[in-house]
Amino acid sequence: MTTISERFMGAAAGFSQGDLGPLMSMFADDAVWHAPTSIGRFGGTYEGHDAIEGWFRSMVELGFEVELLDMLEDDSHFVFLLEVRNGDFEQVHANAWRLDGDRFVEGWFLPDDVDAWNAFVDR
Amino acid sequence: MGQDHANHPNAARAREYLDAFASGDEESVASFLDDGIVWRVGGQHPLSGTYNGREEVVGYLRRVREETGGTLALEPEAVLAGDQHLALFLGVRGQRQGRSLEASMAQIVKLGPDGRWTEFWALSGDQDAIDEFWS
Repeated sequence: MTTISERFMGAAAGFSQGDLGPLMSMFADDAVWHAPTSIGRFGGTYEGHDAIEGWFRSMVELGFEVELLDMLEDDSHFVFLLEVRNGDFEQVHANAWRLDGDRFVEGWFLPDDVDAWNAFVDR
Repeated sequence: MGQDHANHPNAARAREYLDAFASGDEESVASFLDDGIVWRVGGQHPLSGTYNGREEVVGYLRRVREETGGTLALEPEAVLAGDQHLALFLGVRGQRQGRSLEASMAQIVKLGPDGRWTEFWALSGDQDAIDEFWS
């Protein structure tokens, strides 16, 4: 049986090149995505495929190099941590997702340092 | 990966932390925290900010308890852990100054080599409700 981690790794392979289709296919149509309201234009609650895909696309445009640090899962929750880098900016991002069946229905984006994030995107 | 993250020893320890928090046992809560822990509280309310070191974090948690009359409850939906990180999906409920809070929250913890918590950060599913509750 394929684990969530294995499905995610397959779906996210083209993410940094902007190929979001496979990853978005893992989301329920009415999925909800939360990002801290304190991170400006990247913050807030995003509802549905179009909104969430738009958020992911904005992240791709930041041009991060990404290193996968860790993944955790059970049957209905999935967490992955990334180290992202762009020039001298370096940060850890946690993504925590809930599943209903085999679809992500709710997710949280958690940068480890909101102030550093804001300084980076406002540069 | 191949690990059972829900039954990892660090997941069991995290549940012990939740029990200690629920009982208001400050000494036990403090034992989970690294000396140099960095604890980030998001949002835009009086308790938001970064707390540095065990003493500051214990002080923050004490203030949370005092402000809510001990009513703030963390109800785990899931606790996942590996060797380096743990994740808690929680329901959060509490009372403060006539206001009631009910929200979902995801919390992430980075673990040191001795299993103590070195970094903490969290996000609610309804940050506006959290901000209003604490304001």
